[in-house]
Amino acid sequence: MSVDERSETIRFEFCGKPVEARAGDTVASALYRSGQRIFTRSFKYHRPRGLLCLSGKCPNCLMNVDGVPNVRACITPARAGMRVRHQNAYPSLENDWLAIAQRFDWLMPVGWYYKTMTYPSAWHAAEPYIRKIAGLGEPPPAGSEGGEYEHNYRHAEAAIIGGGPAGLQTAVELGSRGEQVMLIDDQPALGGHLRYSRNSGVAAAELIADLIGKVQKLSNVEVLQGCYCFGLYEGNLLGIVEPNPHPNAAERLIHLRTRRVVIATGAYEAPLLFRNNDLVGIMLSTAAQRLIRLHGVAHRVPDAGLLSQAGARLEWDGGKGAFVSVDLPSHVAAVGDVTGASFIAASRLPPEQVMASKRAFVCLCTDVSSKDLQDAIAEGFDHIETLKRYTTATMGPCQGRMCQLSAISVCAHETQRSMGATGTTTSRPPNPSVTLGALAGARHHPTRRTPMHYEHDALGAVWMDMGEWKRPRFYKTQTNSEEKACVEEEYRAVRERVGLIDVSTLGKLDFKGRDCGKLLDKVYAGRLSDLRPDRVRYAVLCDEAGIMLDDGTVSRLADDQYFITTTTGNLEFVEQWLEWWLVGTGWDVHITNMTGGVAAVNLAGPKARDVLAKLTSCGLDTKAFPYMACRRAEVAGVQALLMRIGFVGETGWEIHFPAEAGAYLWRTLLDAGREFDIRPFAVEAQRLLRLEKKHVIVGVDTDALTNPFEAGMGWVSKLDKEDFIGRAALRRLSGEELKQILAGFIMNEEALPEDGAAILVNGRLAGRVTSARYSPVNRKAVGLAWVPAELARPGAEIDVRVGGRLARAHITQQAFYDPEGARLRM
Amino acid sequence: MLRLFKKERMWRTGDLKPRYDVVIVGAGVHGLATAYYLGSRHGIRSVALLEKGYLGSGNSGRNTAIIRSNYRTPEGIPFYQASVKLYEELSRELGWNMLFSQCGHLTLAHTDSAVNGLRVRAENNQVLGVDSRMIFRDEIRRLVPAMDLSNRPRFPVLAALYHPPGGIIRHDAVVWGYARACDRMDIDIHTFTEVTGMRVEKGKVRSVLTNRGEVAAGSVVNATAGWASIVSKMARLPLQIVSHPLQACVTEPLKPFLDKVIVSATLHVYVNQTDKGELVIGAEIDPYQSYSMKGTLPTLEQMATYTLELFPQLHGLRVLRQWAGVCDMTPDFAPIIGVAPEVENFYMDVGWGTYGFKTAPIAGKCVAELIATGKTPNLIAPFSPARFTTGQLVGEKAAAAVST
Ligand SMILES: Cc1cc2nc3c(=O)[nH]c(=O)nc-3n(C[C@H](O)[C@H](O)[C@H](O)COP(=O)(O)OP(=O)(O)OC[C@H]3O[C@@H](n4cnc5c(N)ncnc54)[C@H](O)[C@@H]3O)c2cc1C
Ligand code: FES
Repeated sequence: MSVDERSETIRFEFCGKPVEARAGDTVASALYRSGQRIFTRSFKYHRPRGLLCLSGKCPNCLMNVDGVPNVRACITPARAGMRVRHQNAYPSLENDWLAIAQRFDWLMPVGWYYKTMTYPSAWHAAEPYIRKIAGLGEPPPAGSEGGEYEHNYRHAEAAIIGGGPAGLQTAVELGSRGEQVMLIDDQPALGGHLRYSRNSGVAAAELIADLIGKVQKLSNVEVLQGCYCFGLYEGNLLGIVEPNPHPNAAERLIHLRTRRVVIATGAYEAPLLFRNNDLVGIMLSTAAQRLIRLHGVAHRVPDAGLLSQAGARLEWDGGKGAFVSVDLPSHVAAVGDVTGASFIAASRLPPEQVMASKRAFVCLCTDVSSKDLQDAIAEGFDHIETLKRYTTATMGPCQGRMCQLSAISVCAHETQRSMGATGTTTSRPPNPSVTLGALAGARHHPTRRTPMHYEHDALGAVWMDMGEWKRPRFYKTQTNSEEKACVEEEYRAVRERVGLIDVSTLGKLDFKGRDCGKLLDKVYAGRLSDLRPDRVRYAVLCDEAGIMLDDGTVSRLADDQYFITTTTGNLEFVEQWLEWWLVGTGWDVHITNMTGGVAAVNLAGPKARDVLAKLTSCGLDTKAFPYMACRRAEVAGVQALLMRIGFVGETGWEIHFPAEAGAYLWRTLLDAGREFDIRPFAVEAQRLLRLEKKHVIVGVDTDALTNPFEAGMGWVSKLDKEDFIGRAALRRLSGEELKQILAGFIMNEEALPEDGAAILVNGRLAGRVTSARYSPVNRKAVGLAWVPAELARPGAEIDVRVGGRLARAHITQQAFYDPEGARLRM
Repeated sequence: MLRLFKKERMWRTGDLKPRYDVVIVGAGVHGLATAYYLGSRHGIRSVALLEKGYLGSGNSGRNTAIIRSNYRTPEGIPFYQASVKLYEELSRELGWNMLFSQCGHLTLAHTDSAVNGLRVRAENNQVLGVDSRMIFRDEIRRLVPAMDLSNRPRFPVLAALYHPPGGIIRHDAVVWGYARACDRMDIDIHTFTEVTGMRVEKGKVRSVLTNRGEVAAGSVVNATAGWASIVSKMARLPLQIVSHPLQACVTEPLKPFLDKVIVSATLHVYVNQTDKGELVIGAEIDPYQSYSMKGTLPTLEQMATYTLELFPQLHGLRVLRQWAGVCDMTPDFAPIIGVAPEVENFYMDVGWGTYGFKTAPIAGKCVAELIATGKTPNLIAPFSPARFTTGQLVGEKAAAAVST
């Protein structure tokens, strides 16, 4: 695109003043026409800098556009009403107070900050000031958002990066062979350097027009115009950014997988090294051609970033005066100027002319001069990688594009090595740089809600996150909104009458096939193959080191069918773990994740049976439906799986049923329970109820190193079983003396420790509380804690930290509530 | 002041000598620190550092340089604390400013269970004398006004573990500072010298083979981080280590807006702003084992996504570079330091995973003491290689997730 002289003028704002622009203008070209010559102030010395490359490759025109810092003004289209501000200069670009830094550049030899302020106090005093001066653009204020981004995923047989003559030629060749081709070009129009090169005449224009015409005719060649490729990743994955794909998106990140990649990124020019080479008005020759047809102040550099990312080696070619890529991987090819094909050595400054001046800038981005590099090399930073890290040359916003070659030639000259022996630094993606927004794409952080979610909402649920799920923490009531009181009411309902909790977030896996028992025996620590149909067993999953990973219930529905629950957070892991161990066995097992399709509730309390009996014909008395049994039956007309288990320590049923009946059955159960004064209860009450029973929650009371023996659950592993995951470790652990044990404790006094509180014995750190709650039955706080094994005996005294103070507690052996478990079996 | 203008070589290069009392494989920060303390504390100066790349080319030049001691276990806390103390004095001791900025470190909790996990650390830290405490939204907002503390994010910030002495150091400067100090004691630093094998006889390493020839050694130290298993195999000692890539990236510089280190385990990300103004962002380890040191797009996208959950205003900020290092992960997220009985003069200082930069001073000091005196210092006793046969693992994994 070129500026359209006849088009209407638009206006945008630059530092509060209006600037006129025409269609086709960039922010920089419009500012230049308006008389602006200084576009930035440099990083360290605040030297004035003007337009240099006009292709978005150098750091000289970074500005704040509509609140976004560090925007390349030279490739940003001017839009009406946009607000452009300068950065890193005060009060103005023309008159920047910090330009005084230039006068003191002699005080800042390379690495000066490493050699001074070695006393901690001196550094602590100086650092805040250094921070204040550093940095470029202003960060947008907290709370400001804006900018929608999106991702998409594409495939092609071949991708060609670069729409110059070489890229176009390749596109025509591959396209004519019928290959599915994508041509990616970052310029506003195809043609590459022939669009503006001084050598291009009528013939070039015709050539380009011809190639473009051919490409357009090939329906199997798709052109992504104005898009740039920033990375060539493993497996031929290309990261491509498309700016403004539509009015509602700032950028789109295209993930392109291809069989082959052809790099035709051409060459660009980088500044030569001489005193005051950074002065405003010195432009790269191509830039000059683009704008005012100046010439002669740059060397050409193949734009080979993607090639080296792909694993090509860069080798110095003296004849061409350029680093050329060799040893390309088989799926990557290079064509055109990026290969250095058309280069002649004359464009490179001979090393003898490298001059040492604090004002001959190698790195414009970070204000590193040739003198700085020389000094650094004299200090021993003579490898190009250490030189880079010590001086910061090549580490600025242009990612070394403007300075890498100069830095190498200075290094080669000073160390009297060849350019080739000096070598380049590792090229890393992204190159060019990419915004965090494009990388992140649309904000997509899914929330999982159970089928009863809106029922809970209506009942006054206060929510908490559990993995991706939302779960009620407790329910506010009409009379009470305070957590402690609400939880206690819910608790009492379950202990004294009946309560209902939504446990749909449990992971649910259906196992079908002849060999399910084999797989479960292999993976779970317990024995499950001998479980009788219609029975439920508690099971624990350990890893090879005998560490507890998850727990849940296993119900046998038929000879060849099991139903397994996992903890809310571990479902994905458990499913993968089971599938992993199934691979290669040849066993007949089909695992289906039922979690989303099955809702579940737990109805518990002395009146649970009465409520349920109103809705089902299934026999519920202890003989017909004993503890740890399961049955399939209809509840209020809904096909359900009932399990008689008792996490909360009361008679109760866990009822699993199709998710679409979730809200209906929830309401129906509450209605049926109304005469018994039923209450919905939530996570906090459940935690208290189970804690009184000393039921362990894997992942809360245990951690990433807990084995079943120390958790007091050695019985879950059947060591006499055939080999299973973790058996060797568990067998060894079973014979070892335990160091620490998960034990129950009751506070001796009123204090309520927080979860995580430290436990001290004789003033020394000895353990920690995993869960502690006020127990209405005990009228004291009770809890579970890790304590040294020798203290894990009833009556032993420990000190628990409560609010920074120590409070006494004693260890108990039994559950805090109904230790015999009589109520469960009633 | 004069020193500012003097051009001294930081370290010299020279030929390999035929023998050294101690040969250290790997001139990362751990190898260098070990050499430095051998020379400065025990007068052992016949020491060579053999480094296959340029100085600091391993993880010591790739990490995000977070220094802290708010760990979880009674074994870990005093050890990390001792290292922070050494770091606090190191710039002065070596006459080289490592830009150690004790700006404060916040570990965020976005879920109930994370809050409890942090509380365990706060409690243990306080009992053991580390400055560390739980803070909640109001105080977090005061410390980090730029962060989104609203309920907009999918997982809003609930609380944080605040560790005021935690901070950031200039990692390369630490490497260079130690190297310079080693050089001044005539310790040899041989870069581009790759160890390719070892001659092991009668339970001792007699010499190491390199691409530049063979070197006889009184003792050998393995300080090769991500390559530790390969080097240990040369001494015929298999290690309980798996190697995973860990990635990080850096953005363009902005004016200062964030002067705390922010870590979120729930979001698998950590962020800080350097003195230059760049944002350094780190990820959790890649979920697969690999020796690849190439950045990947999915991990970069993850880092960006989670950074924007914390700082949504930064959507227009550009990432300049991403990179990866190879981390040596042990089963319990604690290091392996000491000698294995099978090879009596082969010392290991490995298993540093994602968290070993901060420990180099104390680990180097302890390993040096072990080599010089033959006695295992108490601080490293829990990390002995024998623990994998006795089952006495260290509980640091419980606090890990993003653990740098
Ligand atoms: C992205 C990332 C972020 C991190 N962030 C932090 C952080 O914030 N805080 C923290 O404390 N830690 C962090 N770490 C971990 C930390 O970087 C490492 O634990 C630490 O640098 C290890 O130091 P080292 O000296 O043991 O290893 P390295 O620095 O890796 O040194 C080992 C050296 O051995 C050399 N070597 C290998 N094989 C051979 C051979 N055969 N012959 C000769 N030389 C050989 C290598 O070239 C290498 O230079 C991070 C790591 C990564 C990758
Ligand atoms: S000029 Fe941009 S990094 Fe050096």
